[in-house]
Amino acid sequence: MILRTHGLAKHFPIRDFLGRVEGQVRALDGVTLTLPKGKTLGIVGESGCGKTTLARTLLGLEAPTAGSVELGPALADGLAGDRLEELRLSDLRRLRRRIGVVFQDPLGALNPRMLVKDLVTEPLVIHGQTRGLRDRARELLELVGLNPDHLYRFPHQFSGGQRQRIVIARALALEPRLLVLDEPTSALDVSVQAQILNLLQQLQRRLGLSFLFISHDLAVVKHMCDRVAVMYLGRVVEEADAAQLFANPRHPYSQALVSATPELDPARRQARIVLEGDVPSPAAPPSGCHFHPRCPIAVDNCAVEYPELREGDGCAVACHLV
Amino acid sequence: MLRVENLVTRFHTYDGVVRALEGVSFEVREGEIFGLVGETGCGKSVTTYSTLRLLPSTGRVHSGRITLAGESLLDASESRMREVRGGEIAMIFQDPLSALNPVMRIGDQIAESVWLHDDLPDAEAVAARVEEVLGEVRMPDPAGAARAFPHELSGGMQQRVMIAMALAGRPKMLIADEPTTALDVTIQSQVLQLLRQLKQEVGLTVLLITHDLGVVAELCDRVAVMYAGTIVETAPVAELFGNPRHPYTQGLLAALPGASDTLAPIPGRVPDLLNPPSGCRFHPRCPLAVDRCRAEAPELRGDARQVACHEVEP
Repeated sequence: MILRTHGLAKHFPIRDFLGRVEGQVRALDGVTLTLPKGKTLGIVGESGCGKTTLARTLLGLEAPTAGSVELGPALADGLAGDRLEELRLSDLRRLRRRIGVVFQDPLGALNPRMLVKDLVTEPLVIHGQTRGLRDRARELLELVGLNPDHLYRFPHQFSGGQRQRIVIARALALEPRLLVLDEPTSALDVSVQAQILNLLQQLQRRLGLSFLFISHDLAVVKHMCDRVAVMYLGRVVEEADAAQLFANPRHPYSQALVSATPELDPARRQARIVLEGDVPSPAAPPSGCHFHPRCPIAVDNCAVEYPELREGDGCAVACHLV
Repeated sequence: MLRVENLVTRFHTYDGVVRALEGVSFEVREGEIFGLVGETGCGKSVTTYSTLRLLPSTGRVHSGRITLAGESLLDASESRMREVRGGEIAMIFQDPLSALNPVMRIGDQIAESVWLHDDLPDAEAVAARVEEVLGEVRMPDPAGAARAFPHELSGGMQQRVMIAMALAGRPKMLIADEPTTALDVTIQSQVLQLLRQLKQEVGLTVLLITHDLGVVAELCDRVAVMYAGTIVETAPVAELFGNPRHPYTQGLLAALPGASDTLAPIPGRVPDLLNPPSGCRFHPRCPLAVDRCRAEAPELRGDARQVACHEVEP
């Protein structure tokens, strides 16, 4: 275990024009998850389901409203405690060295006026290192399959896939144990996406990294992840081994999501479940099970009582009927 | 229905001449959904802008023919083109929110399209037609949606409004440029189902532009694969995915997650069209390339299945 969350919640206040709180967006609403060490946990779900808020909370960029984050030994080593929310600022800074992050848009993540050398070693500088920066930069570029002679170039001189490699090199600069990957290939074409996914798998094997892999692309998640959690409106509705989830999804939402994914091979194409309606706003989620207004099998109780995530043979499902 | 032959489009920029399209040929038949698929910058959108004569001032069609039901669009007058756009070929885009006017009610925006292309006696008839097209795209509450502003609708509903607006002029053909790229998967499958229903019920002809091979497999009857401004392969969908012939198509499919345990990326990168490779534009990345590929650009050969490659038979 590298990290575990217990009932993690993050609510954002909605304010009116006088600044009075008039409601809350429940971006995360009681998320309990375990990230296995050296493995990849995938988080899937549609826009607004809380994927990115989860990543930001784990990085300590958002303070959780409730619940806690338990750090595994690899992350908590040498710190005063193993609860993220109880860490002092100095420990939080040390923790951040151990968690790297890669976001979707590489061009937005790279300062256009900085040289590659300065970009990839900036985390080292921030954490106080001043010597050997150029050698470390060459090492990092080599690690992600870029030409180390390109140290003195600017981001605009690279293609989209190469820029994402620069971002990955920077995320690895402080030798993290955990890499949070938030839609790392969504901005890339398929042929380049394949290069980046292969690189990430190689790096995981070589460096023993754990990944939190956030994506809306189920085919990519299926390829990359060992375990997958499906989120809907701030809650985990199902968590299972990737192979099991895609072969035999239990929760009606996971079933719809898996069946909505376009299938290339007509022979393997199955009856499609097309959900009615849209994802509700997380500011005004439906009562009971958040999914009940769109659920094909909902009964009366679903509108009243929220189903807890229940565990059973290697997977966990939050549904009254499954 | 729509036939494009040997289309060559170039952009004249300060950096030089961008050879965006180099001899693009394909044909969209009546009542089918034809996919044009390729990666960023391969010329999918330039092809449609050339067809509708909506290229920016730097772009010019150098040669080729585009015919819609026998009528040459490149020779048509500007006033005729205004009738064609929306009246005979309608278009929808990737991001519905930026295509809709944020301060105008949905109904009024669709009414604009109805006034332009339909000869109706009064405002009441127009309003009735607006509700009718909103019903055609299966908006849950057509009258209510007509009074709504764009921001009050979700992304999937906005895309339905765009399709309604496109259908308001009763076009022969719909060009859909990445219509589901901005949508979530469950909403995407709703929109794909709608397009499928429209094809069956009103016999709508669709030219679908996309980078998503999954969407092509789900929706299209035939498909053309583009690479760096050329068409490399045209085939019925089942044959393309079951038995890809061109090395680029094979590479694309092998790079998709799901096909096998290890992904096989295509080596190298998409060429710069300011200075495209000689001969076949794919040769620097192609595993089959021989000397002839460097010297001579392959023609698109074959009938039902067409392939542009010296080394592969169609």
